[in-house]
Amino acid sequence: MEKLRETIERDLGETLEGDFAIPVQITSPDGETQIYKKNSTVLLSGQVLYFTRSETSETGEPIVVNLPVLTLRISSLERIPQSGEKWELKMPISPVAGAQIHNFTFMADRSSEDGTDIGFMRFYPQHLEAESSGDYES
Amino acid sequence: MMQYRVVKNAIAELLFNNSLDRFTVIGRQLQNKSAKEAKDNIVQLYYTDGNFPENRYRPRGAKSHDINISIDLTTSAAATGDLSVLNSETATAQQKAVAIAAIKDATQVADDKIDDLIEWVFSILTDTRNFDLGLTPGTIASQRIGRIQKDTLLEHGGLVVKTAMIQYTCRVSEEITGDIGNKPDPAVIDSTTQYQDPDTTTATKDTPVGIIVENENT
Repeated sequence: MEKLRETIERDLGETLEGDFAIPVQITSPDGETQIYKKNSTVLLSGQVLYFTRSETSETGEPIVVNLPVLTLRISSLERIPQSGEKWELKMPISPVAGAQIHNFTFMADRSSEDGTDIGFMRFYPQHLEAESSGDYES
Repeated sequence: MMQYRVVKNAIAELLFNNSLDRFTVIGRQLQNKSAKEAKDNIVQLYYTDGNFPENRYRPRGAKSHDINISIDLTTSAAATGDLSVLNSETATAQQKAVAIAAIKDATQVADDKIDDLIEWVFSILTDTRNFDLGLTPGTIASQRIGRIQKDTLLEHGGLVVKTAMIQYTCRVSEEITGDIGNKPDPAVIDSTTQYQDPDTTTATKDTPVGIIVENENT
């Protein structure tokens, strides 16, 4: 009989890597880039929520802000990001087809929801720009 | 126009003239600013409060006004790194590892940017050449920067927003000009007041002995 957590993890995989998944490319602190899912030729992908509901600190009114949140299935990762590690990430800047691929970076220690026990990790990417560049292009 | 508005406009103009495209000056408090807008370094200033010191108060004439102008500084930043290596098809894993290790976190970049902004604005305002903010000398007195406060990060995520506040304090003298559309009547000085004898209740017509000032409002 299949364990409940395995069932959850498989269902979660279909959610995260299903039709609405966004392909991503991650590079570990070692410089190794992962493009495909672990032991697969399918592109690595995950759920990206580009906009987050928040509120202004000045007035308290609710607003929607562009704070991308990436959720990846741990079993698809060749190397699991460890706390304190700095990773590089390439993903489309918006969910619209043909959107520009942009560089991001993330630290693995901001998974405040800590859902690793059921097989996913959540990351909060920051836009990454060239050091001399002044503008972030969208 | 009340002097605090003159001072606020003078500070805005002074900062604008010395900004050298390093920041944008806005002479009011914005309700919302997107993180992307704030990448250009926004300086917004506005009058927050004023005190009328009791020991210098008088019912008529100019009023001493101790004013506080808040200068809000806002910036935002993305992480920075060597994209030429990270986007290179031919870069080795070692080269990429070095580039990743050298990535500056957005919080660090934002902190550096707000420190720069504080330094620029502080230096402009406290430069002795700008002692009078470009106003006629004597318009303001006891001018000083009373406080600098750097706030915590507003948001985490794609772009990090950082804010700070500089409080500028000075004393001005407010001339009372009357409300708009409610111009006071001109003062009338009547020197033809006649003496009235209390015993006879008869006015003596030819010998003005007093002065009446009407509508005196200064």
